[in-house]
Amino acid sequence: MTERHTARVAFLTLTVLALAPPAPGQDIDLQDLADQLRVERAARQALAAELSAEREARRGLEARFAELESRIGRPADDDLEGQLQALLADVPQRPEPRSTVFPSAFNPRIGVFMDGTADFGNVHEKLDDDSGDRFSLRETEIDFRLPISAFAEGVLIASYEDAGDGEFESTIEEGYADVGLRGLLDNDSDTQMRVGRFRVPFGAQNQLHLHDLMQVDRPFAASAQLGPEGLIGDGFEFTTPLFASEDEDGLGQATSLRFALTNGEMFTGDEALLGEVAGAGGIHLKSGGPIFSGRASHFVELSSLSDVEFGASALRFLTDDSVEVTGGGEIQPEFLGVDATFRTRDDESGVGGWVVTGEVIQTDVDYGASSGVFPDGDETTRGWYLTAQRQLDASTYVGLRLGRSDVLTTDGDITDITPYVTWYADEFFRIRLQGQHLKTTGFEDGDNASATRGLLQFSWNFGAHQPHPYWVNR
Amino acid sequence: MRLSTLLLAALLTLSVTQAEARVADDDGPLKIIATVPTYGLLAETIGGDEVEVVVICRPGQDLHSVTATPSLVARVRDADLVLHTGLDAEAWLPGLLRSSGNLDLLPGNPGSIALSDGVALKEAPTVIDRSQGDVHAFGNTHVWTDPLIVRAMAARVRDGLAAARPGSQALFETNHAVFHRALTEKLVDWLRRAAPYKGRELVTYHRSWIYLLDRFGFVRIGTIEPKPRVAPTTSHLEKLVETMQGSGTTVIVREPWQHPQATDFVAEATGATVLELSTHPGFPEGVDGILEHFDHNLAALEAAFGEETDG
Repeated sequence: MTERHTARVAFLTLTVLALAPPAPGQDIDLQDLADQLRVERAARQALAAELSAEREARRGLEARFAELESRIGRPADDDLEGQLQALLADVPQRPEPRSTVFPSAFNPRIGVFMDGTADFGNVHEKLDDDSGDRFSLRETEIDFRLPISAFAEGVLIASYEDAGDGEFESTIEEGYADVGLRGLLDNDSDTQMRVGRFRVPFGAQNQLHLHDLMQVDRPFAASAQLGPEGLIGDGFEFTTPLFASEDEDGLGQATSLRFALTNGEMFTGDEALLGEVAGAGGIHLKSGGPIFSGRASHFVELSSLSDVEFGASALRFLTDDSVEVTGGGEIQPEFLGVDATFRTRDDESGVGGWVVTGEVIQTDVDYGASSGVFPDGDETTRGWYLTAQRQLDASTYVGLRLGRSDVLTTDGDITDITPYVTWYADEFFRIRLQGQHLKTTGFEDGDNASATRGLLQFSWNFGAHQPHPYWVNR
Repeated sequence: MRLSTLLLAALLTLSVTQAEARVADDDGPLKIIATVPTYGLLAETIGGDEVEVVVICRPGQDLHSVTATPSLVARVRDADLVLHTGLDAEAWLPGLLRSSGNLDLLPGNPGSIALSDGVALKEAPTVIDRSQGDVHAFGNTHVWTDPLIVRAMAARVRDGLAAARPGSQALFETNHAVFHRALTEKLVDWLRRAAPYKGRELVTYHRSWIYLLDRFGFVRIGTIEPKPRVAPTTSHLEKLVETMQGSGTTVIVREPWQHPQATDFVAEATGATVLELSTHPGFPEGVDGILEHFDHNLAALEAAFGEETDG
């Protein structure tokens, strides 16, 4: 830099000297001028060399700049974007018609499930079961769902059920709000609260609606102990995660707890097992006592295509004020259950696979003082079932259920072998054919028999597209 | 007081105050839930080491058949962002988000990035009811099959990541720019390669591929399903065979979860080639990147139409 500066000063000085007119009396020295010109030329050459070097450096920087620009995607001299747009213009896109129907944003999502069955065989005759040997629109269920606040979603499930002899009953099967406590309490809680009327958290079957079942009917371990409709209560339910982790292969496991505090009317109505027996015996039951029910579950992903879940459940009254018998006496029922479900898929497409699921339920009832209607003293009943189901293709499933259960309030038990095949015509229509061989023992003479029946089920699902819960192998 | 009452009181207290140890560490990676593999790869490509991605739908899996397992609920609970198509494409997502309690990810909140935003949807139904089959109310939602739309999605992912983690904006912009450039170069290549086959006809099983086909000028003349997700009837298939024979169409595209019987029936009757295109990166095995995924599909269609020409 110093040399360059010196050269510039010398050049300017010489130029000024060369161009300045000679002072009076001064002679022009040609030799001096020639020397000055040489110096000037040398300085010019030095500057030209410098300029050339600068230009070279600039070209290098420009090349580097262009390379960097291309790496960060800005179109460089090749005008890539221009080429793309020209090519895109060669493939004109079709005009699209506009929808003439507008979604009703503030209305609930509505799903309708219709479930019809045809029951044929000799169960009607041999086991004195008046539900047999007929066609019935067993249940129509209307499901409404919508967000009702910033933290809650409301659900209302109304059902319309065949009560036999041409009679139908309509009930609110469930009606509740699911509330996220994190939003409501503005804390870090992961707990969800359910408030209203709902299927209580007990076992793997009780929370399923008829159209959700893997077979046409509930396993006898559930229906002969919890009742044909299951246990539905009014109160509060909490679902809280306890533990979740993931291993280095990305396989996760999660432990969660679901428990509820409800009233005791699930045992007293005509639809409840105890209530029905009481009604037949001419007595009535009433209960307002709080009931605790809960299920702890542990879910493990065994591989990307298989998983297993274990569950343990309990249900009991929280106080001595349980089911009151009119005319005196108290009934104290308690339920315990364990269940497990294993699922595996054949490949990544998710089509083809197995579900194996089983459950054991034990019921202990303390009937207290003799009512003349219920058994005296304590009664313990147990039941179990095991189902294996195979998905053959995208729409066909075959399965087999085996089960045995004591029947609550009787000395009898029932055993069943139930094969079935299910075919989904599409997302909205399903046909299921089920065979069933039943054997009852322990009842009074005349009520013990073997019987066989077939069940043909038609299920329709209209309206809002339902998500598939994980326990359904679809 | 009975023991069970005490136990209940303890459980109630635990529930209301319970929260899993949440990572509130701004230096840790952003936890991202992506509904499909394409969105997951966009997040990984643009987010680099700044993101940790969980993809819900497997590469060869039907998006409709996703089930909300407890472990998935646990992953969603801790996530910072969810990348999804939006509209009614992932019908199971709102339920999953509500089950997880992570309301920050619900549509409309900053944690929810709907990648179909700004996309002009095709095949919007003029009549919306179930007589039309499993129709999506807003239009065809298989938007991820078009590479040009995926290019726009990448910009949305960049903006979403930058909003969630402004300190890493420069990284996200640089990674996005590199991906944008590479995808643009490929698009030019694919459009040039597809140009000779513009107007060529094919049949698909479901209406899954319309965005890809329209982008490159291929024409779908029918579907194996008479209506979306309605099983094909024999009369519909016979009519389709007639249409294909009349137009000389010899290419059928299906997805791995769809009935092979119906496709095979039509293929046998018409001599058509059945293609299983890559539904997302990761299917079929070995087709791992986004560029490779589109490359695979273009090459498969090119080969099938090339055979048609040779034949």
